[in-house]
Amino acid sequence: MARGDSEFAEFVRAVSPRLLHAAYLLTGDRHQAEDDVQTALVRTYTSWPRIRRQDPFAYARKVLANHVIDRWRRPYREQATEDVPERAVERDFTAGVADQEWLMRALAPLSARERAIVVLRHFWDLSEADVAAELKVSLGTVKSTNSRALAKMRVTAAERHSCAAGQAS
Amino acid sequence: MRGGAGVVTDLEELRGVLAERPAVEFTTVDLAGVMRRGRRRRRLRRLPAAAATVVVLVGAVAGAQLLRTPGSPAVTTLAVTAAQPERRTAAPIGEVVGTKTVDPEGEVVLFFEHTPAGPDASPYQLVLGHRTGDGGITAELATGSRANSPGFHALTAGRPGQDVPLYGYYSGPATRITAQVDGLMYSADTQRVGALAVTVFWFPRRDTTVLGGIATVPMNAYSAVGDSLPK
Repeated sequence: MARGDSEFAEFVRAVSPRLLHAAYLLTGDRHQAEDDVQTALVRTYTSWPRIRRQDPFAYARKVLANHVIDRWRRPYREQATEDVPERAVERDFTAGVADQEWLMRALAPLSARERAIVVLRHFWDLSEADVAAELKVSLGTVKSTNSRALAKMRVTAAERHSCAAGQAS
Repeated sequence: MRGGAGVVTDLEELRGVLAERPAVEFTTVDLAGVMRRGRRRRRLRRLPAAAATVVVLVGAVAGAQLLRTPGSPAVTTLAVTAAQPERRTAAPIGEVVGTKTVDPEGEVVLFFEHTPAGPDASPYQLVLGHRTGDGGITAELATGSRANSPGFHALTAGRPGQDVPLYGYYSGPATRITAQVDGLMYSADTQRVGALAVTVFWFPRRDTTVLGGIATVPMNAYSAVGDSLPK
């Protein structure tokens, strides 16, 4: 195997679990997530000679997020709504509903872009500026879309600044 | 903090739930399929450039044929020659280039031998052989060149698993030689043969998987300051 291919194989082994996790959050469907990661990696490999010395992980992440958004832009797949649900999705601890099930139900009403911004911002922990750059939208769009998405999920937008002191705001 | 109705209301808690491992098992990524599809996409991307290259090459060959005597063969420096194996005592001219590739017969070497000069043939040919344990030089693969003009000559396939995958020489001031396969660039080892004003090059064994047995290959030559040289 050529050197570049060996590096790519190692890259795939290292990043595919996290890419699959993110794709699952973006799509809510295991098989769709696998297909989307496969597509993102094909595009990454296509550009590998150019990006291998830069930040291939960021490239794959960006391709994945934009691919999911582009696919959902097709009318028959569009499920976006601007309306905040009348009732928040409840988290039923007593019935033993897993966090993941709650999460999938909470993410379901979000549009593809809202979902992508939630994942990039709060799963990948990118700054708002980085999210804007990766999705090629304005910083204001990221801020407003993030707020709207969190509102739909009934999550307060106020972040805790607890890193160093371990304190919650 | 959770809301009274058991709802995630806190951003940090949302981040915690997002980070939790999904309750599904993913199948392993099909790496071979990814690379196969990626290579196909690269080829498709290169199609316009490749088409332009073909046009240029066809034009160059046609032009060269017009300048030659009728019936003389066209020169193409990008086709890989498959030399007929032989084994005889060598008569090198100039220096013998060691490739640092060693097998049970000794170190694989490259050198030049005289050939009968013709009106459209180089007066020497490139030979691959071995430097044996007693210091002798054997000749095993000989490749003549139909021209002595600047550019690539005697681009020859080695014997996979036996010596080097691909070798040849460049007539001119080349210091760096590369081959491009599936969008990836492979650099050859080189050594200047000053007496003939040529650069001998060969690709190391680690590139055999990619370059071994290849019929044609895009090649590039660069000068010491990085300028691309004519092929």
